[in-house]
Amino acid sequence: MLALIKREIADAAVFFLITAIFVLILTGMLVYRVAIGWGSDQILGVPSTMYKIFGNFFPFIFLIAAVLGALQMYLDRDKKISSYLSTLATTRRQILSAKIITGVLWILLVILPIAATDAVLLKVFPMVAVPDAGFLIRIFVTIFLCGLACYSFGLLVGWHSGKSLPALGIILVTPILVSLIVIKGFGLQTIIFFLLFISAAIIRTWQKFMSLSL
Amino acid sequence: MKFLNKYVIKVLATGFVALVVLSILLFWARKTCQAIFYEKLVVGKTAQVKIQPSGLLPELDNAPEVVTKSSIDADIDDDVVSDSLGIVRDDWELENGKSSEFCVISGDKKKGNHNLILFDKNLGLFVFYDVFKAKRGWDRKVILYAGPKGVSETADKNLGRFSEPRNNPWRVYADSLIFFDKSHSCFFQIRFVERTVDKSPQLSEVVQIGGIVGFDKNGGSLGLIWSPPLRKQTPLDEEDKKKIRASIQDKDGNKTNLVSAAEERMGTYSKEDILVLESNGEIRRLDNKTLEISGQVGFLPSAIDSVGRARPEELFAYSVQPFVVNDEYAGTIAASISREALGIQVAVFDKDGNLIERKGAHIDPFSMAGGPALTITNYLLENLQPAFLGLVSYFTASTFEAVDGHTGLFLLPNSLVAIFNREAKGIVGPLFGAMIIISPSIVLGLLLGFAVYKDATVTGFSKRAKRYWLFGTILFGLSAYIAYRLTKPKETLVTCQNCGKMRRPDMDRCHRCGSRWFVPELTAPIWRIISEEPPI
Repeated sequence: MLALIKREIADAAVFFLITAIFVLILTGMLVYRVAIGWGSDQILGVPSTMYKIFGNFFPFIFLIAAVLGALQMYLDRDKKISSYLSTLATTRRQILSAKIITGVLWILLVILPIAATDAVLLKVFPMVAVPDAGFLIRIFVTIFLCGLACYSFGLLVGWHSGKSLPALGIILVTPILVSLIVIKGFGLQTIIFFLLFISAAIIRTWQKFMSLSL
Repeated sequence: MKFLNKYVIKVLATGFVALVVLSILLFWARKTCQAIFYEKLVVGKTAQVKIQPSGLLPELDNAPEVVTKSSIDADIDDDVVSDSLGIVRDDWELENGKSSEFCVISGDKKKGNHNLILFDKNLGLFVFYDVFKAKRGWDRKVILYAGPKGVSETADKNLGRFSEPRNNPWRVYADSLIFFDKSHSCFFQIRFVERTVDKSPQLSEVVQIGGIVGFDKNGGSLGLIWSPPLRKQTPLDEEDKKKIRASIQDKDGNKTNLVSAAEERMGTYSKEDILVLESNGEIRRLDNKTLEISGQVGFLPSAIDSVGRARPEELFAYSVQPFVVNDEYAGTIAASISREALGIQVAVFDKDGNLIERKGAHIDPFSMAGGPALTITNYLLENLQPAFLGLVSYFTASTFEAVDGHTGLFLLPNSLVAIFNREAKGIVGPLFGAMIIISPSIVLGLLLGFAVYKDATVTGFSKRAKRYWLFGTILFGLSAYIAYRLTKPKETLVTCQNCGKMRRPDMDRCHRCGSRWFVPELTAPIWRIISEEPPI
């Protein structure tokens, strides 16, 4: 299983590398802006820098998550990777699980460093009125689930013979999914919606992957 | 894992994905219609209420020098579309934290000295802090703890516990904190400087405590302004630099400036009296010093009729302001916007809570240029939602909080059918009316259902499966149809040797005629057609 995950990560190395550099820059910006801005008049709530740093970049990140999912499936089908792997001591279940784990790892690579930096910054520069920790957790959980929903949708449409239909699907549906956050905010309802969507999309992908000829 | 491979799971998963994507898409389409409707047709054009004279200053309004009587203006603002969005509602909390959990009460930001009151959930006590600038930002030091039984320098258990103020309103007035505790059903006033805790008599549930200028819900959506009576500007006013409020022009084009005719201090603010809102929509007055609570001084006017009153959760927005003359409470102004944001109502009460004046306006989309087109488009978009959800929206029309209803994805508490339910009386008649309103979605469901049934017959579904698909598509409309198209078996059909129709190659018997694969060879007929030309 670990070997399969490693292989998946190696396949998506470009994604991981570019994302790592991007997140590093983003984290650096976050630390710099919070450290510079600290000591200002704001003593309540959370400095807007901590969450607004996502604002400009996250729509693209969700799109990339969907592209990663679709690309994993497309390349697999195109290069017949799973057909080859199935001849070895691996099962389809393991192959798909490895893909999903890789996707989750990529999303965590985007979110965790910034979430951790926020947590550390709040310890280093403590707020006078301690912000509700649940609120920051809610933001990160919602963003993580939104990323996973887009990725799952990418997986679902990626196992399609054509190129244009999955691409069109991703371009059209990803903004629709992301807009759920705008509609419902960072609340429990949004989390439930995303969880159900992710379950439905992964079940469907699972069925397709398990039943179709490789 | 075998369970996951079942066809029904495949259909449900695909159907849910289709339903979510379709619902979000339709939500934005409806929101676009709504935005165009409010921005182009409503804001600043209709849904404006003016009460003149205001009724709060009868003597002054009737004074001979008064040119323009006092007035109250209320209107629906353009924030009405965005105020309901979840991200906008979260934004304040993101920027400022939860207002129910902490509050800075005094100090000079530039000098860096503040006092902070914070509710400690673990202790169940309010904590009074000194806040000061430190090396890295700000720091704080505990000064006092306050519980229902007193104030102390330590978190003593004898102080008792307050219930968590998550939904409990509280307000800070200069040196004191006024707080409604749900578990005790009464107000507490904590004076940290004097180290006292006072308790009011028991009350019914209070949901909001006003500040100096009253209280509101979605205040950005509702404009409410009281204007004083005006008189002509005198040379003395010019010397005193009295603020010019308006100007009038006579027939000859001579312009005259108008200034406030009020010589006393008056306005919509109160330092002594706090307006509080009860869960039933009644407004009461709380004395800031004695914690005495008055009888009803007003109520939230229902925005859909001219006599009723509303509970806070039934209104999209409201604003309630105290009216004060020389620091003496003189009346209350309450304005509200209906659940669907199509009606506005203003009520003016005197100091004893008697209704002086009540006026409202209702938006009639069909009376505006472009209004019918937008309303019909919105109605059709609502009917692209599944008929089943339309019916559930009808039955659950009043159960949702008014603002939440504006972000409905599956159930639409502000759809035409839901509005019809809220306005209708009786059971059978309204239900029949509701069926007519959602008839486009029923017709769409039927059309799609029969298309699916026909296709399912050709594809080779069993009778039972076909029936399920038919009813499922009638109930869930477009999303069920999309689910069918995406999940139907993709086998290439072959011609049946027996009936000549297309049959499934993966089935033992032809699903059209029931014949097996093996069909006995036909014996050649004894007659033949001879192609020779007949003799002329």
